[in-house]
Order: sequence, then structure tokens, then C-alpha cells
Amino acid sequence: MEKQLQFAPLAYLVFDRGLKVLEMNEAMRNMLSNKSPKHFHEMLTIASMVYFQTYFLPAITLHGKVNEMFLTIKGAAGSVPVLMNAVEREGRFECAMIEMTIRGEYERELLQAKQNAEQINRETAAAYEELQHLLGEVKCKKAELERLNADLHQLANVDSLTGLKNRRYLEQELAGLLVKSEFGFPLSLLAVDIDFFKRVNDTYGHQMGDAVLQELAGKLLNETEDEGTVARMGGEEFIILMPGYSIEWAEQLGEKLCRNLEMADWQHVPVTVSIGVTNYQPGDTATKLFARVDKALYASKNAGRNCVTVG
Amino acid sequence: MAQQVIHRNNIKIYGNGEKTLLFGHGFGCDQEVWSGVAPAFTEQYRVVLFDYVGSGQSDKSQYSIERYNSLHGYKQDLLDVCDELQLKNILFVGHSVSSMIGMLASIERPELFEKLVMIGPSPYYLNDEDYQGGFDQSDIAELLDMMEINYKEWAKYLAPVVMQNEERPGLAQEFEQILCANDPVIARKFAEVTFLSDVRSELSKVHVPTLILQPQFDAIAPPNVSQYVHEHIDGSQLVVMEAMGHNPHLSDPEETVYCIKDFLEQ
Repeated sequence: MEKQLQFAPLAYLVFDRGLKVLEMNEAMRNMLSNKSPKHFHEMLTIASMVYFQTYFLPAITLHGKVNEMFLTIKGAAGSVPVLMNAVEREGRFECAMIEMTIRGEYERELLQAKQNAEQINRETAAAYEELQHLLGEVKCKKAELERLNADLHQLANVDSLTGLKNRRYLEQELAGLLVKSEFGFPLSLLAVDIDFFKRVNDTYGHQMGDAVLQELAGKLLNETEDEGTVARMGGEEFIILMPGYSIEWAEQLGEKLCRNLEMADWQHVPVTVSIGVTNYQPGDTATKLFARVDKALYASKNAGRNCVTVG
Repeated sequence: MAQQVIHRNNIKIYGNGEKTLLFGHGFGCDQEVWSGVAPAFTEQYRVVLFDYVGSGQSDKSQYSIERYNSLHGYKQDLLDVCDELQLKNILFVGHSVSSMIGMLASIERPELFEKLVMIGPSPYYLNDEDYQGGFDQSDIAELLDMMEINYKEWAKYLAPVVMQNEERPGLAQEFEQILCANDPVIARKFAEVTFLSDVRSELSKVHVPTLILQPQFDAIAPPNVSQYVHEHIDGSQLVVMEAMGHNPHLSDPEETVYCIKDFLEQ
């Protein structure tokens, strides 16, 4: 049996707590470059030595054995990977080692593949995070754009002094309505102009003039309710667009406006308005419509102001 | 913070002497490694053991790469332990990388420390021109691979010990799984921090009486490195032990106890 152990295809080694080599078999000796090492660690590569010293003693002290520890031995033809089992018996460590050069290659390949996969995972995770970050940025930018757009829309369509719709909005709206009117959809409009507004500005200053325009805007909105769209065309001139309403209805609104504004309580300076009324006639363009309603307005001015003329 | 540090660093306190003997474990193990040494001191000293975050039974959820990617994170662990227990006049025994961690702590808070014992210290493991740390970059890479290949076996033998319950192997198995799932990254990072940190320039800043213990055939911290540490720490003592290997507290607890006692009683 002892002879068999000498030549068994298995490296066998005994060393003591001081790591001093006490015995080894032929298979062990054949594996080594240094045929008669005094201490176990002389047989190990640097990395193995560190690993061994870090883990072997704590492990065997606590458990009395070590299983499947992977180490590399300094062999005659370079380093030899081995798998070692060890037990402690009577203060001596008995170790059996199996060379695993071929198996070691598989392990190394597996380890390499694992490390590559981990690297790819890390890169993928990082790329994903970057994408998430960019997506977040895009969302923020989009929200900002939408907000800016809404602001722009507001700026483009609203008269900043009175808060009413502006000329640009009205012209766009009218273009759409004219198409419908060609097919018989009724459309009326009123031109409203403040009487003697120049006197207000001259007497009380432009600031007061602006305040009057703002107050009138509010009153026009109140009186019109949802029957039409009130817009400021510039200066002291306003247009009320009444899609779906007959000219008679528009005229009635005009009369009501003149009456109620004259009677109204004015916070600043009381004013009256002159009004022209017209409606869509076949073949009308925006220009023709505006020209006719302006003409009616001037007729009201000439008739002594604070009245309504249908044209 | 209070209870958190005690739990986080798995602090254990034994004995009740006036002075505190604080042990710091090295890379790859935990406070269990002091089991052959610490009991010899409990009659005379208050003995404090702990695990660095990421090791042993520490709260691993507290581990972050940001904090522990240098020795300073571990130094902070050590100072947290001192502050938590309001330790003063500390006699610190650090093994391997812990001796450098203790050194950094004593430089930052010299008033806390009375004496330092360094077992197998190395301020830098790589060879660098005239300095022979003992390792090349390729050795470290090979070691990291070896740790990875051996990982499960290592986890297996640590498991029953930390659970302290060999009657119920199920518990150990469960713990082993937890270890296997969470630890490789931490262990690898700790290895990198241990083997790639260079604190040579800090040695001269130590102003605490220091004992350096150099075992025989220490593959991790060879004699020339201990000599280097000795030469660069003013007034330090270097004792060459008869114990073998990098873990004299395991291979020869008696001699280790003797050396430490001798120094503490000076």
C-alpha cells in the first residue's frame, strides 16, 4: 500500500503548522521544479502563496479541513494548476492534490467568459442609465417647448393691454368663417369705436387712456357674453365677430351696447361708443367686409356718435 | 447613529479593564480570527472586536463602493467604532491591512490612541523602483482570479463559523447562499483596495508608540517591508517572531499574545 501511494496518480504531501514539509510522494515531487522544498509555500506561485496564507490557515483552523482549494504550484515547466484537499491530523496537515491543467483551461475560459459577460452587463447598464438620463432630458425639453409654445400662442393671439383677442387672431378666425359663410352660414360683425377718445388721452394722459380701454374691454366682454368674439384691432377700435347670428341680432347687440355703456358706472372716465354693423354678403372678402363695417361706423360718427348704423 | 454602528460593524465587547484593546481584522477574514488571542486579554483589558463593513457579520447593506474604494472608508469605520463606544487611550492591534487602517486613524485622531501593534504590515504591496513591496501587477491580477475561482469554497468554510450553529446546517447553508450572492464584489474590491493602496508617505506621520510584528515566511508582507515600516515610523519597535506565515495569531496564538503583552506592559 505504501509503495502504491508513492506512485499513485495523486500528489500527496504532509506539512506541519509551521508549514514545514514533512513528507511527500513521488507524484508530488515529479510535479515540482524545486525537488526538495523545505516549506510548503516555496512550492507556490506568488499569487497562490498570498491566497494560501490568507485563507488556508483560517479555514483549516476553524474546520479541520479544506476542500477543493484551487492553487498554482511552481512546476518544472511553468506553473501547474492543482486542486487541493487537506485535513488536519495530530497537528499535521495532510494534503492531496490533483493536477488540473486541462480542467484549469476550461475554468479559465469560463472565468474569462464570466468576466466578459459581467463587463458587457456593466456597459449595458451604464448605457441604459445614460439613455434613461437622455430620455428624461428630452421629456424636460419637450415640456419646456410646449410651455414656450403656449406662451407664444398667447403672445401671438392676445392683445397685451386689454387681454382681448388681437387683430391677427381675428383675421385668422375670419378667414375660416368666410369659407363657411359661402355655404350659407350666417356671419355678422360689429365695429366699435370710442367717441372722442383723443380728448381722454389729451386731458388725462395716456395712462388714463389705457385704463379706459381696459375697462371698456371688460364691459364689451360682459355685454357680448358668448354671442361673439371681441377683439381689439388697434387704437380705440374693436371688432365683435358673431358667427351664426343674423344682422338684426347684431344690430340689437349694438343698440344694447350703446345704451348700457352710456348708462354704465365708469371707474375712470365715462365714454360712449359709435358702432357700425354689417353681415356677410355673397362674394365678400375680409377686406370688403371690413370696408363696409368701417363705412357704417363712420356713418354713426357722422350722425352724432353714440349710435348704431347698419351697412 | 448609536445602535447603528454597533449593528453595522457587529461590535463585540469582552472583559472590563480600564484600558481598551481594540482588534482590527485583515483582508479576507473577520473578527473570528482573534478567537485564539483576544481571550488572553479580557482579565486586564476591555477587549473590543468588530467587522469592517462588507466582512463577517457586518451589515452588508451599508456597503458602498464610494465609501470603501480606499483605505479611508475603512479608517472611518474604525473611528466610528471608537466614537460610538467613546473609546480613549486605545491600544490598537491591526493585522495586515488593518495595521495601515489603524495607522491612518491614529494620524487623524492621535489623541484617541495610546499604542499601535502592527502584525505583518505593508504600506504598499507592489514593487516600485527601489522599493520591493513583493508583488507585480500581474501577481495581483492572478490573485484576484484565484479568489474568484475559490470563492464558493471560501464562503463554505466561513459559513458555519459565522452562524455559530453547526447543529443546524440548514442555517449555514442559507447563510452560504447569501454570502455567495453578495460577497464576491465586496471581497474583490477590498482585495484591490488592500493590494493597490500606497500609504508609504503616511508612515512618518505616526506619533504613537508602535510595535511591528514580523512572522517567518510571511508571503504577503516580507521582512524587507517590515524593515521599511520600522525605519519610517519614529521610535517603532520591530520584533521578528518565530511563528510562520502571515497569520501568526492563528498559527501561534501563544507567541502572538506574548509579544503583544510584552509591548503593552512596557
